[in-house]
Amino acid sequence: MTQLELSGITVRFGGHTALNNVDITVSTGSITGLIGPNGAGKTTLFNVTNGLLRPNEGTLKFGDADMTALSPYRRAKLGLGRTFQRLELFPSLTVRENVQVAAEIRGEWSSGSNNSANIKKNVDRALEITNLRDSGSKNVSEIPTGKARLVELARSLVQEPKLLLLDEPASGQNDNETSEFADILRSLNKEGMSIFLVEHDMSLVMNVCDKIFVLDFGSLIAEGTTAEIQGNPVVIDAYLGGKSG
Amino acid sequence: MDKPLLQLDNILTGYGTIPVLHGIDLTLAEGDIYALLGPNGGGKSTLLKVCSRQIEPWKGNVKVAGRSMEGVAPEELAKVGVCTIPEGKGIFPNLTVSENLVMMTHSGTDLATIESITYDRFPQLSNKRKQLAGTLSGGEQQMLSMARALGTNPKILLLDELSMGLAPIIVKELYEIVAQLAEQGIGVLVVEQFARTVLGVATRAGILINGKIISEGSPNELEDQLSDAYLGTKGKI
Amino acid sequence: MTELITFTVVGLAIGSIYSIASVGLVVTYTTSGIFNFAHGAIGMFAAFIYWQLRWDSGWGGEWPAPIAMAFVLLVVSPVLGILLQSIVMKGLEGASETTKLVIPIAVMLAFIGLTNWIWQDFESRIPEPFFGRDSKWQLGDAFITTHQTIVVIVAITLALLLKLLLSNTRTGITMRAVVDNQDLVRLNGSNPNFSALLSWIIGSVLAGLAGILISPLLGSLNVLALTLLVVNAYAAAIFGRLKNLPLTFMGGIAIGLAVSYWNWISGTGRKWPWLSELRSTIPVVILFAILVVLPQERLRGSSIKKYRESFKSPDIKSSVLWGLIFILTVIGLTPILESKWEFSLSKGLGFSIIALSMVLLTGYAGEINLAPLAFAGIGALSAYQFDVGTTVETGAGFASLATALALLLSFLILSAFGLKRKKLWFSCASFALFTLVFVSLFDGTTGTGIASRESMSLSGLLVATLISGIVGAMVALPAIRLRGLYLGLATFAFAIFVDKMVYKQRQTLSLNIPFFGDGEDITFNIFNNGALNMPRPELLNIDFRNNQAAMLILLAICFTLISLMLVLLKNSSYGRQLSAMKDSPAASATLGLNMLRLKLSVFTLAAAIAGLGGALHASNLRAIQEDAPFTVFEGLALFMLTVVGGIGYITGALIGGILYGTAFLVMGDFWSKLSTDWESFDWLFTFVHDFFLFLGPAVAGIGLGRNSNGIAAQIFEGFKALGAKKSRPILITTIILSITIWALRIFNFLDGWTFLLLVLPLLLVSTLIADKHQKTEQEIAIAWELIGIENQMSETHQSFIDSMVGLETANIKEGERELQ
Ligand SMILES: Nc1ncnc2c1ncn2[C@@H]1O[C@H](COP(=O)(O)OP(=O)(O)OP(=O)(O)O)[C@@H](O)[C@H]1O
Ligand SMILES: Nc1ncnc2c1ncn2[C@@H]1O[C@H](COP(=O)(O)OP(=O)(O)OP(=O)(O)O)[C@@H](O)[C@H]1O
Ligand SMILES: [Mg+2]
Ligand SMILES: [Mg+2]
Repeated sequence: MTQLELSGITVRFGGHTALNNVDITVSTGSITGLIGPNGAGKTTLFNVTNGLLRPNEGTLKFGDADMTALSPYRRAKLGLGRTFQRLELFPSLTVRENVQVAAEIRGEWSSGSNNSANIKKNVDRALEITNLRDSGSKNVSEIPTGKARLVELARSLVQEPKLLLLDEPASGQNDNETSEFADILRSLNKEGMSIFLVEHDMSLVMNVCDKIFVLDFGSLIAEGTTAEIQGNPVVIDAYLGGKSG
Repeated sequence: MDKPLLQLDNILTGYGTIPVLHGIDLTLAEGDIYALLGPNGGGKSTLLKVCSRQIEPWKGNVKVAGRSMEGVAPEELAKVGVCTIPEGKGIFPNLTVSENLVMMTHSGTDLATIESITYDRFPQLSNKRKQLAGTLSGGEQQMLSMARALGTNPKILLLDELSMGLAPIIVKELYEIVAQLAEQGIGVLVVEQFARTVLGVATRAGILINGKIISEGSPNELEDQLSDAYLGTKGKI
Repeated sequence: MTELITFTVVGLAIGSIYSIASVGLVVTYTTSGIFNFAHGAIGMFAAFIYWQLRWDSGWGGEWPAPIAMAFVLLVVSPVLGILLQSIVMKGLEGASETTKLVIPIAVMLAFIGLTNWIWQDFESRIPEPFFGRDSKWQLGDAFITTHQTIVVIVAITLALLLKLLLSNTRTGITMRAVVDNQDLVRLNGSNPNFSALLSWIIGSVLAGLAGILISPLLGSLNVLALTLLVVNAYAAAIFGRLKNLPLTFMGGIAIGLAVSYWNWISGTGRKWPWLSELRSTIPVVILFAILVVLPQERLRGSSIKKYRESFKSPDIKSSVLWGLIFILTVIGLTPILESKWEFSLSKGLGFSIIALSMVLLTGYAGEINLAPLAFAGIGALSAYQFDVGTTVETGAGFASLATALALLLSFLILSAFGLKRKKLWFSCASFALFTLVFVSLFDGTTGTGIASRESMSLSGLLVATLISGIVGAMVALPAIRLRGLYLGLATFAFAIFVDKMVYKQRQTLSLNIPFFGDGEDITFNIFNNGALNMPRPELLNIDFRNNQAAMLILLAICFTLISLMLVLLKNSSYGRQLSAMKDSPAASATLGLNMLRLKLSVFTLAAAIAGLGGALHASNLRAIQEDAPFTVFEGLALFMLTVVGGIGYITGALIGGILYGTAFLVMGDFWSKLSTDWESFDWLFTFVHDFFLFLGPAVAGIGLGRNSNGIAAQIFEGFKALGAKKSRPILITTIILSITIWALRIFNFLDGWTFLLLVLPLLLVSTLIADKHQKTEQEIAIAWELIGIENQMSETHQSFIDSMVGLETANIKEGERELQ
């Protein structure tokens, strides 16, 4: 079963081709990785996936639905969540409110009840999972980058997406935070959430991913299991550079 | 004894009335690569800002080549060869790549040199000369900001979170470059969270936690202590 | 053919002027990040000085043109630029879009005020074109004056030279870099202050040049005409996306041609009298169109921005409490105020209610609306036209129209409230029904004709709310994708449009609308003689016509009710969604927020509030004129003062309105009273009086640079200190003293001025004392932090700090490990 299917995605900025006929599928229940050198087009691919950017060519399917023409907020309703490489929090709200507003927005289109008790419960759970319970009343501009990335995660989680796109969630986190983060990802995945991960920290990627795609200069150059990717000479040459880590 | 390139004496500073650094001593000699490590919010960036004179210390003294820097503006410091690459936003997003390079000539190096060094090192940038720097990918932006360190021939190099968001191969390359620079006699102060990447090239290292350098030594000695230091601050912002 | 050439030549000449002005705007914007609303005003000021030097003998004779020109452009303008940068613009880095918009508005008002002050008399000053009026040459059958030729040449040269400067020289590139990141400019080894100074010098020289070149083409010098003329150049600047100089230049030419050809086609306005004012609105119509049509930036990552501005949410309980205190205070003031003062205060409150719409839209939702008073004016006019009954019969047609509007309005607003479908329709239908009942029961007017017009009913207010809300939606709909400055400019264009097409409308329009007016033509006469007499309300058998105190209390109650509604909104899911949309559109969309719907909703609601406020305000004033109180400039001033007051807070709206409607007038009053009391200091008091009258608002706006959270934030700080336990004695003393002074005034032991002079300082001083009180304690706490550095750290201190920072000492950790 595929959760997400991108076919023939091409994006051009002026004369520069940022994505060139890319086909990617993320199967339901998997943790799929996307790696590649800087400027390979990973963030661009995410922007295309969640609708902030329209591709010049190509189609997108989410589950069985064709979402090529949908706007970002409709894609969210289908069950697509995302975090950002450059943080996109709401600085005028507290950590808790950041998560709460996401829950409330979801409450408006989900069929379930959106009474405040229910929302509170969901918010508490999301904060619990991400270890943010103590920081709830803090202002998001006061907390360090590592925590801020967790807030973005919590904000997505509370919407219970079917597929979560994570853009470099570990950058700005230290080794311990990263390994905690890996645990969180695994437990979410166990509960049935599919995850699509962009990351430069190979220890995280190799640790959690079932399958990895490698982009270079806007084109897919490899795909496979972690072991296959780690041993792939093309990938080592373009990205990993000798021994990884 | 030779005068150290950079010397901090008992630096105390902060933002508003909230202190961040509580008495920092640090010296950097020619050819040193000093890796300053520590968890989020420890004050590493603040320390670099003190060195580059963007923040006035409340107490204590910054000396460059033995001379006190009191009253020296950051732009003057930049002109005498102290090159600071700030965290995350070392580029002008609304200028093109080549205009960003023009800005680097304020330090006194001529444009042709900067351009040739930059495009040599980062060929990826050479076909993006007319692109607005703000639309570069995260990694390309980092390369562009590193271009100033390479192109302007500084005496002291202050680097904040160089590896953030960069592909492993690039990080490795950049640190090889840093090592080469140090061999030519430049003093480098690197701030990083990811310990492993820097410790490979560093000659000395220190751990900064909550505004204090709690230990200092050779990279090998520090590597063991590091995980303890991080664990100690777990759960706290 | 001759005509074509003539109108083309004229168009080119006008277009070149727009080009010069818009190129100046773009240069200032790219090098300072500020859209300089004051550009026209600075040019106007320069033109006045030039006129004074060149044509008046007053200031040392009539200087030759080149010398006068050189003096203005090489001395006066640069000095203005230096003053602007060093007093006003410095330190605006990191300020929000709103603050960056308000500061140049303040500067604009300052120059308008200054010019009005210096050149007070109504003498007509007619600047001559270069080389006189008769110096011209012939092209085909058309004549081109030397002045026009000079203008065209200067425009082209400037566009080219400045383009060279900005993209091909290091100085120019550095000037642009300063806008992005000053710290980084420093780290690159350049002094950003110098570049900023240079860019403001260049900016004001360009403004001065534009002013001097334009003024001879306008006939006699006129403060507002010159200032507004540059507004026509905005469209060109936007056409160049505020950065591309060649495009900007061409945009200017195109607008000039459009204006000229329209004159040709419409026979200089004679063909369609109703549209005669369109000529002067063409540039703003183009501005609006360009803003709407040009592709918008994608939602791109702004990363966490830490603005200097940060507004805290009010909580509901204390808001209710403060609302009560506010109403009681106003009631308590009524017995001690003379009715003149009651009127001034009511005027302030009227503006405050309108300002609440800006708190919602700009403070909460981060959308900028520079046309608050246009919506207010539309509200007032609707209440008048539909309710008072001079033109439209109150009948079935009217009732059904109002009901339909109510249905639409409530749907637009409520659809973003996350109600389930059934509930949504139920709410909308109930509101529509309510409206239907209301407008059928209360027809609201008694008597017809100007003299016998008696009162305005609640249904009048309702209609005002409905119509301005719908107009708001109509403006918002095309502009919905715009944000920040661009939205501000689009609404500004709308405000000017309303100014010219509605307030200056003298034509009678005959319409035949089914169901209205018994099948006869309805003749609309929006503003028959440039003035309308607004009736006072009549509610609950209280006659507000001759009772200013009752009117004042009514306004205070309305203000409080709307405020409480806003506080409720702010604390609801709706309010949080507004914050989210303001902070990060990209993330909001990603989370599934339908931003178009939300934006339309909040814009409509804000316009409705402005309309209601406008109707109340006008009714309090008893009259509206074409030039007061709902014009563009007044709208800008109110917007600015609300930001000064603190646009994120209800209190900010109160302060903004009172400052604008009451404070500067009362202050002027005060000083002129002093100058009659103490004749010998007449000159001083007259000076101060004039200062407040001409420059008061502008100076308040410029002061914003210092505290961008507004006065409200400062007051809250003070009150917070006063509310602290430690400050109880100070608080109690203050309350007792205030009540005593109030009682003394009631029994006429004190006059009004003395009362004010005692109470205001009392409140100020007590908060200051309380604040000081708290600060000292904080300082002690900080000193404690220094112990480790100053003195040797004791063992206890050491472990205490360690536990504070969460660092167990190594030993403890070892011990724990062994235990495990
Ligand atoms: N608006 C734009 N205009 C022009 N080029 C762009 C634009 N946005 C992105 N690009 C280019 O597209 C390419 C892909 O960028 P993208 O941000 O997707 O890279 P990435 O794989 O996420 O890299 P990183 O790991 O460094 O974040 C880059 O070369 C970038 O310069
Ligand atoms: N401009 C500022 N105003 C107020 N406080 C600040 C400011 N910048 C940093 N701080 C505070 O100072 C402390 C140290 O911050 P600093 O940025 O130096 O940490 P860091 O070690 O570089 O962390 P990171 O790894 O997240 O970059 C933090 O608690 C932070 O919240
Ligand atoms: Mg990326
Ligand atoms: Mg840092």
